[in-house]
Amino acid sequence: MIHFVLLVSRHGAKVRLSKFYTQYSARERARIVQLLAPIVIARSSKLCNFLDFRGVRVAYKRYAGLYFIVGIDDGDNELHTLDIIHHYVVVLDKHFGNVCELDLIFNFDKAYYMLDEVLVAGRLVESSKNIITTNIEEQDAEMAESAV
Amino acid sequence: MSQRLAEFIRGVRACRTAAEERALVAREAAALRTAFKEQDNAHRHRNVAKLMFMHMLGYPTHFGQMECLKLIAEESFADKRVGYLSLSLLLDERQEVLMLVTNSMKSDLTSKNHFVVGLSLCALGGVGSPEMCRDLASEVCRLLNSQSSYVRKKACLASVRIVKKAPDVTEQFLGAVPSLLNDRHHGVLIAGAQLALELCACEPKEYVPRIRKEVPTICRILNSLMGTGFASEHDVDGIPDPFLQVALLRLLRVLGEDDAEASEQMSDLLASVVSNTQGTGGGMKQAAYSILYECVRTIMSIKAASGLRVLAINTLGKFLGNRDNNIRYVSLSLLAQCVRVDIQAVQRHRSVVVECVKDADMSIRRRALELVYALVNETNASTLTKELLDYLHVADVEFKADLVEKLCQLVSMYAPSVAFYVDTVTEVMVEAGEHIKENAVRSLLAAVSASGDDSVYRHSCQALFTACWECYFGENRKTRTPGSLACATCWVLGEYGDVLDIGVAQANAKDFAAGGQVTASAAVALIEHIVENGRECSGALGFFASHYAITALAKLASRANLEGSLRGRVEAVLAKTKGSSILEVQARSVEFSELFRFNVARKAAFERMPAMEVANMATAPLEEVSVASADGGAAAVADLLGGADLLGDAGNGVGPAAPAAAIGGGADLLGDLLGGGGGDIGGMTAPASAPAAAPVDPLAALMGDSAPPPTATGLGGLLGSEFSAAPQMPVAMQPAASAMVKAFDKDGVSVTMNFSKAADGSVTVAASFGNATPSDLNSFALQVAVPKGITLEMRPASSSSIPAGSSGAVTQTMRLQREVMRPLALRIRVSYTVASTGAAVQEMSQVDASMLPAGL
Repeated sequence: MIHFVLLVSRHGAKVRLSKFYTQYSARERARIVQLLAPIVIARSSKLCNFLDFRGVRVAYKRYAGLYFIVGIDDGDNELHTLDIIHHYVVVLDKHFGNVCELDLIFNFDKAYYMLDEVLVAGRLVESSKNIITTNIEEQDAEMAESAV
Repeated sequence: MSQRLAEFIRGVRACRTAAEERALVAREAAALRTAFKEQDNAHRHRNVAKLMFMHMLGYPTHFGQMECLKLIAEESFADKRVGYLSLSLLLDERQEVLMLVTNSMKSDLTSKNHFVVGLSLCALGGVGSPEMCRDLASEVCRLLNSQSSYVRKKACLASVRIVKKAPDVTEQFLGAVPSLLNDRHHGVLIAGAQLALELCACEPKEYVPRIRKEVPTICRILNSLMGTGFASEHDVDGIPDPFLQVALLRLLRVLGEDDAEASEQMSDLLASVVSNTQGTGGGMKQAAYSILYECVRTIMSIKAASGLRVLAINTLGKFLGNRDNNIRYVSLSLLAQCVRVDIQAVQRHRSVVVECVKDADMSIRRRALELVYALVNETNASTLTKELLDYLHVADVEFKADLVEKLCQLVSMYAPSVAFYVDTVTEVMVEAGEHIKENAVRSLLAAVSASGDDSVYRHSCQALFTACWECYFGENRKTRTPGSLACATCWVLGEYGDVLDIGVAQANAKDFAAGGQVTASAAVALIEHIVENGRECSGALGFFASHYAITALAKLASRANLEGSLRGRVEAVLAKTKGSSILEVQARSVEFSELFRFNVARKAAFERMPAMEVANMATAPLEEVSVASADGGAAAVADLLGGADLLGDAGNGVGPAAPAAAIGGGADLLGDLLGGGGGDIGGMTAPASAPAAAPVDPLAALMGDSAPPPTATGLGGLLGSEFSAAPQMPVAMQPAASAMVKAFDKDGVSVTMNFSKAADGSVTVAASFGNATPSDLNSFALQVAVPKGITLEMRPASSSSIPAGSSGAVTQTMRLQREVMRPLALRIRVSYTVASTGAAVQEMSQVDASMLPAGL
């Protein structure tokens, strides 16, 4: 299963999104972010996208200035994890229309809502991008309606 | 009114320094606190959103937790959505506040709006605590049959969390699995497969056979996936829903394991998955690889026919040949898995794997190294070791530690000969001695010692001497000699230097001609050099080099064939080192020079050690203790061991905190024997009063177990008076067959132990309990803990109550069996209730080596 998902900017290793599906104390969470992000950012683009970090297998992928970092179990399918990351990125892209880092900063809540449509309890929940975007749009509409 | 979220974010981004940002966030946090206090309902969800942003930046947000709960309890969808999101971000399952939300969640699970149900399920899946999971299990289970696919898929994954957190309520979910796996919606299928997996993991014996019935269904889904029947919206790069394929293949793996019938059912399908996925074009996409990866893993796990296995291995070949680093990485994982099934197939790829150990990528190197380690066997050990050794010379520093550890482990297991073992580890020590672990050195020395072969001794002496000499004086000399190498060299030369020829006396180690014959005289010169320069050795063992060296000198000078030529020289060195600023060296020098006055005692003390037992030396962590107890209260025993480290006796000598009592043991023991012979030594001094300044003995780890310790603090004092009484010496050297020890005596309650040694080396202990109090003692229990390497077998006591005023009326026997020859030590706990008052008493005591005669 997926233990955590982190979105970190390449410049300054700023956290853009962090979600933990496994029980970590606030301190452990902070340490993971602080220690893991620099390791990932420092890796050359020629190297493979996996590494071992404190007993967790980490798969990451870089999209422009953002790193998507996912912690999984040893024995999980690493390539499949990259597929899941890409799946999420495509969903973001579809929703924002050519997504960029600023979209994610100012709409970080949206990014979380979309993550919740892709992953629940650290596992993939939907493989259809269309269904996800439709669901998000419907919920956004409902939110706008109820907020008025 | 507070500012808007976007303004806040913009403000944070505009901050130029961290201090500025902290100030801004602190200001905003203060505003939020006020708003929360004033119950500003209109802006609550905006405020909580700000809170989440602060949380993401790493600022404390606990003050807003209650607001999340309030939002969830609101009617409007907007509030609920923000509320649930903040719940899963700001809280975790350990917070008790979470309990308060269970009721809101329960009512949301029954909402007509499927998005509200989805929010609640999602939050449960993210942060559900065991209690929440138990409370909501039946609601969630009901939702597995919901009309809405959106609810069904999320309910599946919420159930996964429930199964994980509350394994006692899982039964109800099992019934839903068949219908979930027959669903038409992909999301539900994916989630359903993961629920089935989690159930299998939770109760493998019970649930796997029941879910196994679905194998044909799963095969049918995968079959139709590969056809064109399914909607293309799920495709990735032209591959039909890789996410669903991977999830189902993974489930098949668990179901097919150890079951011939299920394996048979799925084998055609697996073959067609492989061929179909490969057929998707020349340049395969990553999604195709991830399916193949999963499929090959499944084939390797199930009871596959050989044809299918060949197909899998061939596919694996394709993985290995790929230039993409990600694919190479997973192919190493795959190979590691295949090792268990078909080691021959993996051996064929050995050269590729060895190449990967030298890859530029640390991740790949690590995996490859693990794999090489798995591939080594007796036949290829020397080639693979050589490959790794060659690589060690160029490996970067951070990788060296891993490499060294694995290298040492594998030569210790597979070295074709002790000589090979010595050569390899010597080379490792020269190259990366500071990374070598102490226990690796220890097992090397144990192997040398256990060989019992003079030619091995000679070879070891020569190899280590040469390596060490090269480090000090050779052409490629090092600025700091590795401590591990210096220690090992001293130890081996000290123990076995007498197998070397004496040779011409050498004043200075520098004078030794490189490549010349190693002689005992040269060895002494080198050891002298280490005595003087030991401090400069590198690594964790560097500190001990001079300690080892001084002992080695004393040992060499006591060997029959070397004594004549070396004694004078060594005594001169000892005289000099008496003034050493290293406490340990100084203490030893003083003790050794005293010992040199008594020839008989010295020869015995500096004798060669008996051969060590390799298996135990290599594997047993010396600090651990095995425990047995007659009434078997595990917790009680753990507690019993919790105190001072009595049992980490001489074997633990290297740790600076090693207990003084244990190390001083050898001296006490000798002293007592000399004073009082082998008789009753009850009423001993408490171990705490043993010399507090007893030195930390690095040799103890190596030799203390099985040999009489070369010396110990306090011995010197005894020797002056007692040792001159020569006729008593034989008593000290003869093993005593039995001993009576008062193991416990307090408030009139006593335990006397009679230790007797049988011919097979086991020790029988007959404990008899005395009660001098006026009251009977009930539920009397004796618990005993022993160090690791000693197994304890306890018989029940003859009675659990001890009559008042009795002595020896109640007895209990136990048997101690030693795997390693190490000093006996017992820790004892006595518990009983006093019949007259009903008071429960619990006392502890210990018997350590110093209270027992040497022969035991």
